[in-house]
Amino acid sequence: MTFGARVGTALPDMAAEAPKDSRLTRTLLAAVIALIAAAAIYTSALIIERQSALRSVSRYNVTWLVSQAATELGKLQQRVAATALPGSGVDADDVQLWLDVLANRVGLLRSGEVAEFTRTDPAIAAIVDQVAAVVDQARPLADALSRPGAALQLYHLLGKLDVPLSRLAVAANAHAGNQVDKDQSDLSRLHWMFSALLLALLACGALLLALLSRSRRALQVTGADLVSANAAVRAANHQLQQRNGALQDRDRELLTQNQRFEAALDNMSQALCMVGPDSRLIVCNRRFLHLFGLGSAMAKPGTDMAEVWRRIADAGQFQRALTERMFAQQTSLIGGRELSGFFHEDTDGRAVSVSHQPMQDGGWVATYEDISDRRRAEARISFMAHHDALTSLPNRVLFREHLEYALASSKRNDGGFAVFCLDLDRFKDVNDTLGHHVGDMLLEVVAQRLRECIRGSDIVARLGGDEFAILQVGSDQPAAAEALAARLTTAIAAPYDLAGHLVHVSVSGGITLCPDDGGSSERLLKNADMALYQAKGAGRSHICFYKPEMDARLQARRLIEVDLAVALQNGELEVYYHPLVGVKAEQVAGFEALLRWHHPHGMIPPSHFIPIAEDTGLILAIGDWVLRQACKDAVQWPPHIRVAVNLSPVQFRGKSLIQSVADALAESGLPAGRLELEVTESVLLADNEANVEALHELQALGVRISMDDFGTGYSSLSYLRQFPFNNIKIDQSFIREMVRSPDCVAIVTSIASLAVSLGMTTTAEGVETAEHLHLARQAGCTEVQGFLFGRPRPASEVDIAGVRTPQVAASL
Amino acid sequence: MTGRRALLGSGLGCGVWLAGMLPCQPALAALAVPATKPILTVSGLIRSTNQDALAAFDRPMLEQLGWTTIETTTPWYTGKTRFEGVLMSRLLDEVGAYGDKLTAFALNDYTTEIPVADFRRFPVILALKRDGEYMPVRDKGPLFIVYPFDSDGELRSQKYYSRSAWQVARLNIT
Repeated sequence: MTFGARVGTALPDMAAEAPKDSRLTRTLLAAVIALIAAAAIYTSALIIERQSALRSVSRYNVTWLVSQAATELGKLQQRVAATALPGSGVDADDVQLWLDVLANRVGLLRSGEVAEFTRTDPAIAAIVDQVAAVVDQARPLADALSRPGAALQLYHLLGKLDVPLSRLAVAANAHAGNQVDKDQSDLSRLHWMFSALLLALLACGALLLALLSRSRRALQVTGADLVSANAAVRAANHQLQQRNGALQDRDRELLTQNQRFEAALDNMSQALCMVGPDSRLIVCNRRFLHLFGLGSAMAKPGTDMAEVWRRIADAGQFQRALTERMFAQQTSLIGGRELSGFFHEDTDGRAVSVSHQPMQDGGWVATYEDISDRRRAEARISFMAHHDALTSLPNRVLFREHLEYALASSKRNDGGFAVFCLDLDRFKDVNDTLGHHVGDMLLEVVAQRLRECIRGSDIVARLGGDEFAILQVGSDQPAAAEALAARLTTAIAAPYDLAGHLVHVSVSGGITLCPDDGGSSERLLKNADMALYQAKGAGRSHICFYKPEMDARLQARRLIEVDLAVALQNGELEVYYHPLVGVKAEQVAGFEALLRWHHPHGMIPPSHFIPIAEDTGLILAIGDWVLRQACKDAVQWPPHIRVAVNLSPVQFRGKSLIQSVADALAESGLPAGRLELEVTESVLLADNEANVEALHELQALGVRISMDDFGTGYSSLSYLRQFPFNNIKIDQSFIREMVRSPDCVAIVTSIASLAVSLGMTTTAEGVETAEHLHLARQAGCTEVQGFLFGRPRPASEVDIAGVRTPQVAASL
Repeated sequence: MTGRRALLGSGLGCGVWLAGMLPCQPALAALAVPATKPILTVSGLIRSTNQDALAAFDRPMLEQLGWTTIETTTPWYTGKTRFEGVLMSRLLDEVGAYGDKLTAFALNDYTTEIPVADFRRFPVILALKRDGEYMPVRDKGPLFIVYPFDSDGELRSQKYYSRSAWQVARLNIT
């Protein structure tokens, strides 16, 4: 545009001079042409005037006309004289004729152009009058010419006119001379005027030529100028077109970019606004308007940002306090350099995050995001990360944090606190018998009761399952802890009504005190856990304080774990066999395989290491090994001797049990019917569907299934209904009690008779005396087992034939 | 109307034809002899005569040739003057003149030469009347050669003024 304007102004400048010049030339040319035309017209007029002048010169000659009067008078006089002479041949008619001729001349002198001459001078007029008078006087004389003397009289009369007519001729001549002079002077004047006019014409011609040549030169110059101007214009036009094309391209590009920019702006998930150094809005996106509840007219580009902020506050999408805080912070950032990110949250939980980026020119661009949902989610996630979903109690992580905090503050203030680890007794049974949802309900009520037991400053947490922990803050330890323990025991022991089920549970717990028992959270938690373990071991429903020796026991257990892990490889494990004796024949019917650990430091009883093996999962490998070993040993025995192997519930969780049994049988070649697997009722308690299925599969292999330790747990008869056991082993506590308790006899008897009716055999465990044997036999048990028939022995020492004879004999 | 005009046209045409033929053919009708005193004699190269080698005309004979009127200014009279007379060309046709020069002789012994061509170029008349009156000798009579001066600027010159002879009595064709 600028360029075009420059060209536009340059051309008129150039052109302005030329027109001024050419206008002058044109005017001059027109003037010259007008002059020439005027001169031509005037020349024409002059020529006409000259012709007329020349004509007047050649005008009828007055002089001649006048002079003829004298001639005619002479001829009349001659005629008159002749009449007087005889034989002259001239008669009166001739005289009459010539008199008429003279009379005619008089008429001539008195009319027409001659009259103009004769009237000029009175003297001449008088002469004419005199001639006329003489002619009039002559006429009567001419008529009477025959009269004597008349001719002479006439002659004399006519003679009077000689002098006047001569004078008249002279005067006419003079007049003619004057006329000629005048005509000549006129002609001369005309000549000079004509000459002057010619000169003027010549001058005009010259001027015209000069003007034309000048005009031509000007035209040439103008032409050259025009050519160069035209070239310049063309070049400029070309350049303009190019620029225009480039501009159009750029325009298109800009438009595209602009559209993309706008699309990008409007599709941003964040609200954005850009503000100039004058604190006026440059641009904001749709999201910005939406976020702050503004109409597009309320945040037009150019609006003062203070006004925009006021409108945002008025729009009320966010609490006024929040927006004011936010804008105050942004205002404080204007003029800074660094990108700043911050957020503000109002009391409703609405939150806006701001990313404020100052620009070099003093303006700034900021993005805003409604992070309310995110904040809520974060809060929720944070809560979930730190709380138990079921009871909403703090979880282990948060409890640890509180614990750390309590530790830190106790170090500062020398304040003490107590840590409780609690575990519901038999919660697993509730879960298994009444279902998980009842279990969950129980946990919720327990959590509520725990909350009610503690003070506001204390923390109760659910660590997992039925494990809870309490952080009790207070310096009057252990008294406060004891009081809380008492409250807890009472509160938890109160009956629960859960969806119509009346449930009783008790709580076991361990307490450790800080700083007396330790200075780290791990230590304290471990202490409390050990105390809890101790309490459980001591028969549950018990909360006991941590004691340092608990730690020693734990250390021993840890040692067992480590050693057990290598015991199998080291060949420290061995299978012992304990005979099972038929009551009727008093002959060995089989042996129960029992595991023994020859620890380098001495034998370790199964009751010590089996739970540990179960806890660590080593039981799978060990159990498998026992199974193979037992089968391998049993195949050496007589065909009617069977072998019984105990299965841990843990082994049922593994998927390889069936295969393991099948492999052991196949490897050893032992008939399946000679293998008996003993399971406790807990196998049926946990995951009983899958376990019952597994038992059926095992039975399908041909293996006998025996229920071990019947009578110690729930001893529910429903278990007997769930699975068709081949054998029931009645717990030794019943056998021992039978000696003293007839009730026990009745129970054992009824179990045995029930077993018979169900097609099962029964084994009485713990037969140590002949009386035991006798009672067992009386009760109807099929087989007996116990020290009466010897202690468990290694396979190499098993004496099938001589098992009972000496002992039975002895006992009998 | 149409018939009469056609007749008139043919009559005129005949006249023109006759006039065109005259220079190369003898006159068909012989000139009449003047009954009164002749006022004009034509001599020289003429074919029709009535007195020896002359053609004499009295006033009625001239009037017989038809009137033509010229109204014009002249140097000799003040204002316009009406002249009536015979066309010179008609007169020369009448006498079968075949020369190209005419000399006019006036009663006052004035003589002038006129090219016959003048009578073809201009309707020059031999005037008998001025302003309706026969002209006497005392007033340029009896005959006056008049050019139509007002009709052409060329005529208003000494050359033609000098050819305009008055008191004409004789014409000679050469």
